Amino acid sequence: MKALFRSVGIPILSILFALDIWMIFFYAPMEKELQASQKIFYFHVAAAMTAFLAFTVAFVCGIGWYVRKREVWDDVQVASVEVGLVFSAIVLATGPIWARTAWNTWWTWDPRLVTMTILFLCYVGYLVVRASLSGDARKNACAAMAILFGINIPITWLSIQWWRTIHPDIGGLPGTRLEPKMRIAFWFSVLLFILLFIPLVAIRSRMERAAKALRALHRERLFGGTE
Amino acid sequence: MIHWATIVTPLTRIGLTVQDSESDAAKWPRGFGYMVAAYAVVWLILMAYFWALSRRARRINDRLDTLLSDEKVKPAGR
Repeated sequence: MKALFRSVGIPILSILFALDIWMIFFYAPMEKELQASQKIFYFHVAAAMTAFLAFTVAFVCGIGWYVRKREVWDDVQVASVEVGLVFSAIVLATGPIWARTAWNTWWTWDPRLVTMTILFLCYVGYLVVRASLSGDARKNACAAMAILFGINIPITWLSIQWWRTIHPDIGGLPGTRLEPKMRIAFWFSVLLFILLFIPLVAIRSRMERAAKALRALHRERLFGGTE
Repeated sequence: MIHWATIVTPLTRIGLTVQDSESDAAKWPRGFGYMVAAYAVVWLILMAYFWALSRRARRINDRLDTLLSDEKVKPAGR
């Protein structure tokens, strides 16, 4: 599996990334008002949608853990949260860069910006709590947090419709009001980010499983299987 | 280093500060420097995460190797 990803997955992803960059910069037309800065949109929104997907997966895994109590739910949950945080970081880093050109400010207390930042900080808190606990207490607490913080996902997504905001709302599902070539480039970026998300979660959850096995082995060697 | 400076300096002049001449505006689309900065940030964040993942994987492997070689396993504190 690992060898297959290395020999096939990485080259395919690299080619798709190159194609995406070509589509964003050469295939999609230049927007009349925002011009080059509009090109930030393709990665910014794609990263945001992938982050929402990642936190939704963590939410489902949280429920899965309480229903089945199987380790795989916990492994995939932490992997999704971590990868979701990476994509959220991309959103929070590229957003202000775009805002500086469009709004003439790096930051404003807009509902979408604030809810997205709260979402990001919640999951940072998740990782902090996870690092400070161990055993079943950790798994239970993390599953509870994944479920609780999952409430923030629809709030963040719908914040531009619920409250007065200056954040662009391009009509329901992102990309639906775009010019056709822009729409193709945009959905290609979304697809690519999701394609990147899947192997990252798979790799990270395998690492979590290996780390748990390592801890168990260490305990067994030190205490003869009892703690 | 010189090449890097020759590329970055014009970009920052155009994108990250107020354009001060019409000729610059004609050469570069609006916000070009910001766009480059945004994509550089995306690249850096992804690369930093890949680096962190590979480092963590290597550490797990090293610890496993240490643990599996019996003579090196000692209870903590001894």
